[in-house]
Amino acid sequence: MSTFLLEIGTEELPADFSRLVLPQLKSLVLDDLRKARLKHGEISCHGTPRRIVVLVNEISDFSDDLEEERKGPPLEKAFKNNQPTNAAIGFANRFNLSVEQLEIRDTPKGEFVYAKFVEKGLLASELLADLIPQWIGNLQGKRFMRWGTGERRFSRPVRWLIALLDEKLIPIDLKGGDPEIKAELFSRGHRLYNNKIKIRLASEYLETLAKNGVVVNRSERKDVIKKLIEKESAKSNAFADIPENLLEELTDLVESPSILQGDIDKSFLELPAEVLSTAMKVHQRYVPLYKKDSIDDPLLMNCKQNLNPKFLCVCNCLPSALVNVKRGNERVLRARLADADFFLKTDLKMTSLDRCQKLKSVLFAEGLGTLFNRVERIQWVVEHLLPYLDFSISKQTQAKKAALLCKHDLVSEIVGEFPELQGIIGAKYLYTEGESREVSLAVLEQYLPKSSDGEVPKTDIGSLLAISERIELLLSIFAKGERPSGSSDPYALRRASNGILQILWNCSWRIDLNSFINTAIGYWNALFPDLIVDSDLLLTDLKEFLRQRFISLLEDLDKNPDIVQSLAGQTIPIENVLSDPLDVKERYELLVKMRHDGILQSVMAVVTRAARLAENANIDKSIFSPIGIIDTNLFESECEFAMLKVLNSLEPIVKKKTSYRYHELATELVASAGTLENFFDGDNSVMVMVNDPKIRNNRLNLLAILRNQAYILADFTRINN
Amino acid sequence: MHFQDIVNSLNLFWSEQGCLLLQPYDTEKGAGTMSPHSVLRAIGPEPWAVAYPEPCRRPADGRYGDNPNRAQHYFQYQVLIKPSPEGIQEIYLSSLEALGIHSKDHDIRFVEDNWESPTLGAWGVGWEVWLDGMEVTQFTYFQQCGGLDCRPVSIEITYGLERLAMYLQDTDNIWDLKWNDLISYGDIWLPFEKGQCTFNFEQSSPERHKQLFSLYESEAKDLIANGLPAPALDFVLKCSHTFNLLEARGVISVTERTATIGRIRNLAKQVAELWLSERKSLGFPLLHKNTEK
Repeated sequence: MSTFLLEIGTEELPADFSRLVLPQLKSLVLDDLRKARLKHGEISCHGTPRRIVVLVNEISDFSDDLEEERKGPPLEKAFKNNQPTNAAIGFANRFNLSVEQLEIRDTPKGEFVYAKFVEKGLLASELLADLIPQWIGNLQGKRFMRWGTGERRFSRPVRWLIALLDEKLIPIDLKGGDPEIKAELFSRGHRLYNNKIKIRLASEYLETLAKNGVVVNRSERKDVIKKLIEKESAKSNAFADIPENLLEELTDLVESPSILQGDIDKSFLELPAEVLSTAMKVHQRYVPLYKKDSIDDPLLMNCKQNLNPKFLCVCNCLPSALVNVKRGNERVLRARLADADFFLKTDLKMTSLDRCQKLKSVLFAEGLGTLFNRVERIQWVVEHLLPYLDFSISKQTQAKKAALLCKHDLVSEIVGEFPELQGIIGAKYLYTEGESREVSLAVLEQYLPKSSDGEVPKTDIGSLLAISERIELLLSIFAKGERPSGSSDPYALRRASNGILQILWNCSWRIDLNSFINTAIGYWNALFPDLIVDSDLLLTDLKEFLRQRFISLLEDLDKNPDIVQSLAGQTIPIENVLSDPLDVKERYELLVKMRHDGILQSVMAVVTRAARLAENANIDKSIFSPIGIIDTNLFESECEFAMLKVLNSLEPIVKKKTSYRYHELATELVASAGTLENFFDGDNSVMVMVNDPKIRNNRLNLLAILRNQAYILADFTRINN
Repeated sequence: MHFQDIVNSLNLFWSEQGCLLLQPYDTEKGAGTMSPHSVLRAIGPEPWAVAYPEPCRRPADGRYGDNPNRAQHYFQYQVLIKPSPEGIQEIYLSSLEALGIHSKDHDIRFVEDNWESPTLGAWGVGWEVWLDGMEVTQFTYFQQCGGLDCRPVSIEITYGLERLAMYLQDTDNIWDLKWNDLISYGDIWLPFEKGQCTFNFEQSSPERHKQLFSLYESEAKDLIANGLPAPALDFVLKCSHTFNLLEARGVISVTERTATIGRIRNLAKQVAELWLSERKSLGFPLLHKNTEK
């Protein structure tokens, strides 16, 4: 038993590489050791900026023997007159056996000869020598490169390789790189420590590297950094703003973590917290320190009450350099913040309304005019959505104002520098100028949600503006003939559509998107007579696109793709999907609940059966009432009367406009499931497809009306057993 | 260390590393990479090792000289070595030592930063080098240039000279940098900066520049058709700079931008192919030069 060490030494790897490949590597190693029949203890994989490491404890020196057997020729072909034939001799030779060692066994197909043999275990070092280059070659990552004259591809150039079983070097030639690499006994320490360090024993590797300034174990390194940050923030009695992805990135940017607390000139606390925090976290990978009692108000223009004039920087330097490094980092942040300060002051020389005028000089997209034109279209959408909503007069006025001012910050200097602050800066500037909180917050919230699980707008006006902004985008980009396809969605239209639905659901708003889009397309058509070639096609494309978003969002909620199909799939007319997106979601939730309660099955079965037969009927899907269609004189059985009774009781529910009708409809369907089953299978059941056309059609019509009534809830034929 | 001494020190350092020392190329460009000494020489099998300072113009980055960190005209120091040698990071770190920046006194890191020039149809992977949190150098292993795979791969090292100088001279203002003992960076460049910004943002005629773009594009196409890659590159560079000027005026929409970049890239690709076949027809002469130091 030995300890196995593999170290792939590289030039500095991208910070997300370890996170991406360590799990891959571990499963490759685990899999291949199993296939190679090499017993082993714990497998651990590590990564630093300059190395990817595998350590395997207690690996066997040989792989296990394998007993195998192979079936040979039938007995009568293997032996003639008790003498082995050429077939038997050849078969035995293949496994290095003599003919006497062959076994004869009875099988259902007669007697056959068998060869039993042992595949001897192989030296671990030989097996590993074959496997290691495969592992290195099989790692998958983003943007691999070639270097020098080589053809090998990896994340960054591979510069050294250690492969050890205890103290024994496993001979490996890693081909294809420039230069080609042979496994050796020497690792490299941290850049500022020893350049070549001999690894005497695989099991001493971690310790040896630690002595040379490298914390190889990634989770240990992450922990060290976390503790350093906690300790430093406690010193200042502050709260460290360290999102998980920043912590992960910091872990992959250093081999020898240390920390310093840098100072920020107090005058910079006159800047918005978001500006400082973006400069720190995004541009410099520093950790901002928030005061414990900081005020969470996105409209604040300064951060005197929120931030400490400090930052934490996780370093990779010698302890003796910390003073120098602190000065350097302070300088860099100072330059960035001085820049931001300069931009802010320039911005404040102009009013937001003036900036709106400046939007006239920025083109939005070819054929779609300027950003100013875009804002005009957003205003139109807001105005025409207002009738769907129960807003007070003053709230309506605020919504229109927010629409007018929504994009002014796109021409501000500071958003030019910090694009991720769009909306946030716009809101702050407006509030500073004396605009109401409602209008200012709406301008901020128009960009929410930023992802499928992101925060949605909290205010009504913000929600309306966010929906309008996205509808404008969809209509305009579709109008100019572009459609998202595959991975190409440059205007993030998928995210925009998801946002519309998420907000509608969150606000419980009932907006008839179908009729709204129909109206809007007329307006767009008038604006862009040259762009819109075929508005019917545009409408179909846009609505089908929305249907797809609907389906994918619902499917993400929990896994009931068949229910989603029964509500929004291709068998459902598009207007039923878009006329009230909230309604669709409510029905989705109802059906999922029915499934959980175990009552969906019986309804589905009977309605599906009815719907299949009803395809032979000749009545429109919009008919919900039996009156004038069903002739009781043609009834021959009790079950037909029972069925009619069910239809009569469902009819008024179907015709209600409230959202409770679905619950009622579902309850009634569940309660009637037995009655309906009796129609097909009960003691007094009837044949539907009888010869008499009158009776047949009467029965088919009963089923068709049931189908139509149930269809209000869902297309039950799409639901799985 | 004065600005001019930094250039001198880098010249000395890289010439000792066996690099050819060249001078700036005389066409406006947005980055040192666009000089034919990089963008053309990175193509094909011939070895190459070069170092040169290069003025760059990025019209949209100008701030009329009011901003201490930004200018529409500045300098890069460019090194390109093909094939990329082993140990190039360590060589680079010694170049910082030559400037008086000692690794042991600093936190120097190689942070992933991949480079792509959509107009040149070029991309590579590499790092930005952080000196105590400040980006001072860009490192790129060229993978493609003019749409052609780079074989062998070149390593490009681009120093931001002003950044380095500000660090070495401990000043927060680019215009206060000392070019030599007497004359500051601002003394030399500020008058140009102010005038150029007025031109870039206010006085340039978008109409005429659109015409210029078309003219340059036609010229480049004709030169390509006539099998003249070197002058064709000049006109591709002129297209690129004219496009940047139009962008600074804010008259290019998002989609027009994509389309125009596509047009320039298309030209750059043809120039790259033409250059490669020209070198091939000459038998790749540099393959036979003794490239030993």
